[in-house]
Amino acid sequence: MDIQKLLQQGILIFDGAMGTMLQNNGLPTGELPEKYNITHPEVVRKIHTEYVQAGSQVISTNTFQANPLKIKGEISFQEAIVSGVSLAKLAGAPYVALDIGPLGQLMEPMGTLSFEEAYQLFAQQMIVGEQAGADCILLETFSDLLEMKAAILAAKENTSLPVLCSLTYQQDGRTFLGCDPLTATLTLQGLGIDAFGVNCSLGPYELTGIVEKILEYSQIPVMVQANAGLPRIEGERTLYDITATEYGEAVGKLIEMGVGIVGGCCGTTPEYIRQLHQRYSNHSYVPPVPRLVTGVTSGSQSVILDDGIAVIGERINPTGKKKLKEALRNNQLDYVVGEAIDQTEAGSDILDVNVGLPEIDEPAVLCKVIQAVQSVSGLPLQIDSSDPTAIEAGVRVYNGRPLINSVNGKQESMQRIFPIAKKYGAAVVCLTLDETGIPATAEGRFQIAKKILDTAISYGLRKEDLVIDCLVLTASAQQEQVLETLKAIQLVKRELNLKTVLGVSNVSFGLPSREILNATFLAAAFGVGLDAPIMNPLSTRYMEVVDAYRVLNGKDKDAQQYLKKHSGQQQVLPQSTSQLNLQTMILQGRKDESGQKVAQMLGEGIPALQIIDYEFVPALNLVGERFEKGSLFLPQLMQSAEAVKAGFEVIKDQMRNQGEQRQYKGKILLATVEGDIHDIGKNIVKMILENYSYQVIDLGKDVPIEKVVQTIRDENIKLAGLSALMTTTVKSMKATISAAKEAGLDCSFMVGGAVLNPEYADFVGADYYAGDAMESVSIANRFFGQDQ
Amino acid sequence: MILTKEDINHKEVLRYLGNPDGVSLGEDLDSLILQAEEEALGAVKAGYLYRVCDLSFDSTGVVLAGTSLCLSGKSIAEHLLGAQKSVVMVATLGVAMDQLIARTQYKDMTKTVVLDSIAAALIETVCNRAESEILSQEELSDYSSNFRFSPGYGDLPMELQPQFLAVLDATRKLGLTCTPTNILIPRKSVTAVFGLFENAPLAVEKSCEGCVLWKTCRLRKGGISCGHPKTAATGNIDF
Repeated sequence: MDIQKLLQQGILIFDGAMGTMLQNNGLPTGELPEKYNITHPEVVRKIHTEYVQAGSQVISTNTFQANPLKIKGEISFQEAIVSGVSLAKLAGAPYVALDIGPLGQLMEPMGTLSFEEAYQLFAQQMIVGEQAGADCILLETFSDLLEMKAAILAAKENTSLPVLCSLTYQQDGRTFLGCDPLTATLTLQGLGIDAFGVNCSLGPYELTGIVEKILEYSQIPVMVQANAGLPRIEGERTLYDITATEYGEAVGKLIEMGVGIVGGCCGTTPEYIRQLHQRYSNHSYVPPVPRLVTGVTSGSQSVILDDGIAVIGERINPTGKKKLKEALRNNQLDYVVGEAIDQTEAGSDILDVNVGLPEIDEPAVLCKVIQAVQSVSGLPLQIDSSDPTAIEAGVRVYNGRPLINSVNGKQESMQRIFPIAKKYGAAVVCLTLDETGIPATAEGRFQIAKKILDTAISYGLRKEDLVIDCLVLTASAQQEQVLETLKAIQLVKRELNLKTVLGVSNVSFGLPSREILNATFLAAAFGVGLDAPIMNPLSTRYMEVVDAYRVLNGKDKDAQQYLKKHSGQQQVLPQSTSQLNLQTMILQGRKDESGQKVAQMLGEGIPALQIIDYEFVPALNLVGERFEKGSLFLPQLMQSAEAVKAGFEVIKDQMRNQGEQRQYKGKILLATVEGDIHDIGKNIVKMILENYSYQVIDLGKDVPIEKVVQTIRDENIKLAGLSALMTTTVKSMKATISAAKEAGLDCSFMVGGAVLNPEYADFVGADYYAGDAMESVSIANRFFGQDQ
Repeated sequence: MILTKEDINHKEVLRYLGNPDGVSLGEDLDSLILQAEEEALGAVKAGYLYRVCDLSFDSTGVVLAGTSLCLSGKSIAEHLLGAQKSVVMVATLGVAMDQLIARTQYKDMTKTVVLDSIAAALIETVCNRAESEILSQEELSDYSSNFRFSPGYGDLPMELQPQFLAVLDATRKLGLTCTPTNILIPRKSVTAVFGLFENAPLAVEKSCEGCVLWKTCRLRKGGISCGHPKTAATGNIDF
């Protein structure tokens, strides 16, 4: 089946709703429609036949939920698919689309389904569907861009069928997971699919704006399968508000706009399809001319370089950063995530992510960091590594269309990177260097850019997929080269009309007051057309240049953003540390001040240990007592704990700088058990245990039993804390403790969580029950002999 | 469903934070709560679905006509005893609320706990409003209702969660999903069923006895009921 060829013959017509039709034929609500392929094949076949007679050229199989997660029991998902395809064929369908919907479970990090699991589940369905004789794969009613990506990769890597994809949007123009049509279009069209569009949720009128956006950017045919208007509930029935004739008319407007493939979704019947067939089966397909842009996306937003400059935050890169190196080596993602949040709040448009350290498993760590950063920031990412294997691993699990950093003019580099960019539909930063090094002249760098462009095109990429880096040399060592960089940017922009990126801060290396040079160079680079500086967005000075330039180049309309940020700005005086003593600050939960106070005390020569033992601990004990008595409430306890945490950060920084090792009272493992995803309580316990100088190995939430056992063994853990919030996951707590005991590990367990109580704790085989975070501290103190 | 500041039951938020009398927590925390309320309202995308069903009782439990749902257990049978019809419903605050809470955890645990409590209060508001919207329909005007009963409360199995979602097509229409351990995601979501009675319902009061926190609840030890007994599945607060 060749979608393009079929479209040359005219508008392609799919079928309408299956679920609605099955319910009209007696399927109880809530029953899996796919079971009818086996139990009532004549009903399914009859519906398909009616659609074929109404004029559907492509029939979608009744297999929307035919996946191993949904179909359990006497009927297998394979049977449902095989019979589903066969019923569509028996009905005389000219073409049969293997219909696949989302898996019904949310993916990590919000849910528990991993990318790899999702991929495998989709692959299983598709392999069976292709063998059964499906002509194409229709992925429909998806809300999660990442799940769609997993499904597309599964289709492309395991079958040779054409793939059509369609997401479902709410009235606010976004999917349930927050994806907008522009973001979806830019992301998915690069993945080698044959058509892309929208279905369900809304009627053809309500979808007009969404379809318009897709058509503006889509380089592939666009499909629409709308509902029969908006649903309304009447007693026990769901009804839709537009008739077949109205539907036919409304879809006509979408076809005029440039839609090539049409059909129906909830509420539509063969009559609706007949309307489409009668009106449009002889209508020729005129694809619109898309706007070609250099855009990157996350799962929920897009950045288009053609629409203005974009700041790429450079801080997630361990080069020269001790703290980040330590965090990456110890698998502590909190610090990395904190950097992502700070840069996002500071106004970055894209974040660079680089985890290159010689002693780590870079592909694995890069994937984890990408997922963690994407869980807190909606910005698109620039995936940065010198290892193509790490780049491929990263772009594969990335939610959205990433920017790869980088390829260069060396043949080997282009051979490795361009196929990855092509396969995953990524944009690529291209460094203007090759086997001979970095050319000294602008012309030399321009020639390399040209070579890279030509090679990229031979790999099937478009020029809009490339962003050229003309490379910055330092003003201290190669002063004459600074202007060559600017000239090269001009040449690349003027002669090749490509977008450019630049790591601005290199220019000042080796000179004092680097911000002055960097800010000036940044302004100069904007002047010659730089599109995306890679820089530190936490620098106010650089961001001022960015804000100002956006006014000057007219992109910040009426200087609205500038006015918002810079008018009425008061000079911020350095915050003076208040006169309160540290213990009072902790008691009052002044977390913004406690860190400064600790810094001041350390500066006065007070040893860290003294601050911990004579300031932190007594204050925390007092807070704990008040909390127990009920004269102080949880948020207050936590404010105090955060004030101590802020103090500890300062102490840790000092120790790191002086190369000292932190002394702990004991090492404790914490985990929310397998199957449970509640981690707020566990994180409170973690913070408070750390406040009392315990080293916490935090395994996170939904932690597999084997991982707990393995970590107890590897880290020689003697006390572990497990959390569960539901009666059903308490079972998993019991299984975890049993597994550790069976493995012969000498480890004691404390347990907690809303539904736990002393009897439950006994039942699961725990040694201690912790009713709240403060109790976990008393348990740890008793356990490690720290009781005073 | 549009929610505004007035829809946040502030007293309830404080109660979830372990402060049943609603005393001030000091200027800093009071303003943190107000700020968190703003953020929560910015993230919330509330919605609900429902279906009115005739019901019958058989040996396996309560059968909801026209659906694949059969509610097993003694407590739901008692709850719906004497009802002419029942309403199955789901409600959610949407996934952005989960994302907000998850993101806040990295920077500010205090605000996280506050946000979680606000969200817990909001989903209760959404359910209340949904219920009154459902009951205000003309064809239901002759009926009175009793309280919303959720899987995990009493002996109504949590394993029914996927069935609740399927009957209302909640994954497609509301983006609601369920983990293999029957946790609803988005987290701040509720599935429930309640009875419609031509005469006064038999089971009216929601009692603490069905609550999973029966043994450990601090409030109950102090002689107070939170008014919203928690179920194993939809325990409102996540800490």
